[in-house]
Amino acid sequence: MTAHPHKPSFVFHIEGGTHDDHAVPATVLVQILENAQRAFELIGVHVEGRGIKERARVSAATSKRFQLICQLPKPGSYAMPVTVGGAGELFSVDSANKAFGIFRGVMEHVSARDTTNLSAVLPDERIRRRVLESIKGMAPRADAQWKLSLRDEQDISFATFDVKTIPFVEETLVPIEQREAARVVTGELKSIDFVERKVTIIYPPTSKDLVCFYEESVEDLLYEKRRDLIQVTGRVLLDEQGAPKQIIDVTDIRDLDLSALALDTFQHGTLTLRAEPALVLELTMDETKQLLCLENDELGIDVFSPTREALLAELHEQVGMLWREYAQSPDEELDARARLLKQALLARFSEVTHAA
Amino acid sequence: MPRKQGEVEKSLEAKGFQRAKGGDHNYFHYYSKAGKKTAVFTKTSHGARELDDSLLGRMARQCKLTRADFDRLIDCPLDRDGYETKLVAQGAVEAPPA
Repeated sequence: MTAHPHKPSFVFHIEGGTHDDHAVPATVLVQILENAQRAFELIGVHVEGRGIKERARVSAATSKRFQLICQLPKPGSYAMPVTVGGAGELFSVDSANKAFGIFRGVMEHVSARDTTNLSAVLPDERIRRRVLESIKGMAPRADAQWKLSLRDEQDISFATFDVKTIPFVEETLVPIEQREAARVVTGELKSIDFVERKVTIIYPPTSKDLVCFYEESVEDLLYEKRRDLIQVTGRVLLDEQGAPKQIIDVTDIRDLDLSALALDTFQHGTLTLRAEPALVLELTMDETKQLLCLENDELGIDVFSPTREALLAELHEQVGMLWREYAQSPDEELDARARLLKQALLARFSEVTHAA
Repeated sequence: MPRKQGEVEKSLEAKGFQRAKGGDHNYFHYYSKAGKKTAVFTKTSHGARELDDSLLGRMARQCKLTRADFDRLIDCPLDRDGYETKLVAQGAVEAPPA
C-alpha cells in the first residue's frame, strides 16, 4: 500500500462491469467516490461533535479535513486505494481514524444487513439517514453487472455491496407502511425550494405542476446534477379525477435511467433460464411517461413498470411465465402464432439444472 | 379513469381469457374459440388495487387493442366474436378453420 503511514486507508475493489478485469466504467467510479466522500463528510460532522441542523450543509473546512485522497489504482479486479484526510493544518489523525472507524462500522453493518447495531455506531439519526442515502449511491442498482468490496490495509474485506444492498437500505430508511403507500411518479424537474423542502415537477399526462414535499435525508440527492426527467417516490394525493395533485413524504428522487438492459440469466422461483446469446433490451417510455417498457416481439416479451428495479423483476417473472406457458406446452394446445413463440423461446433459452 | 383490477379480470375471463396456472396466476392468456392457447396475454396485477391510465394503456397494447377498444372490451360493447375478428385480422391469432 502506498498510502501515507499516519492516515487511515482502505481500498475500493470493483468487480465486473467491463470485460477487462482491470478496468471500470468512469461513471461507476465517480458514483462510488462521490458518495463515499459524502458519507465521510457527514461522519466528519459527527466526529467534530456537531449535528446536522435543518438544511445545514457540510462546511468547506470539514469537507477538507475528511477528504478521501485517491492513490494510484491497482490491478486485480479494479482496486482504488484511498487515504482519509486532506493536507495542511486542518488535518487531524485522531479525527480521521475516528471517522474511518465509524465509516467501517456502518459499512460492515449494512453489508451484513444488520440494522440493530447501526445506531450504536452512528447515533445521530439525521446523519445516519444521510449516510445511508450515500451508501445507496455507492451500491450497484438492480441490473448492474458490478459489485463493490471495501478492503482494509490488511486486504481484508469489511463490506461488500451488491444488488441487494439498495433494497436493504431502503427498507431501513423507510417504514414498511410508508413503502406500501408509496408510488413512483416521473416528471420533468421544474424547480427546487430548499427552504420549504419542495420540488416541483411537471406531470406529463396532465402537463400540470406537481408539488412534492421531501424528507430531510433526501436533500443531498438534489445537489446532484438532475436531468430533464426525474422519478419521485412518495405518497401521492389524488384529485377527483384520480390524477396526482401532490406528493408528500417523498423518500427518493432519482434521475431516470433509460440505458439498455443486458441479461443472460433469468430466474423466477426455482426456474433458471440461460439466454444464448444474451438478451439486450432497449428501454422506452410509454405515452404517459410513467412506465418504463421493454419489448421483444419474437420472444413475446412485453413488460412495463414505473421503476427500473421493478421492471427487471417483471422481466424475470415474464420470461419464466413464457417458458412455462409456451415453451413447455404441447404443440396441440397452441395456435400457430403461439407455436412460433414456443420455437423462438426454445431456440434462445435453455433451462439451467442445479446440482442437488 | 382508473379501473378496479377485479372488474378488469372478470371482463377478460368473460371474453375468452383464462388465468394462468401455478405461480403465474396474474397473467391472463387469450384462448381462441377453437380452444387453442394464443400468444396474446396480459397481466392484471401491478401492485395496486386500481389500474391507472398508464397501466391500462399498456394492457390494451398487450391485448392488441387501442385504448378505446380495450375499454369497450372491458365494458362489454366489444364481444368475444368481435375481439377475435380483430386479433385474426392483425395476424395475432390463427384464423379459425373454414
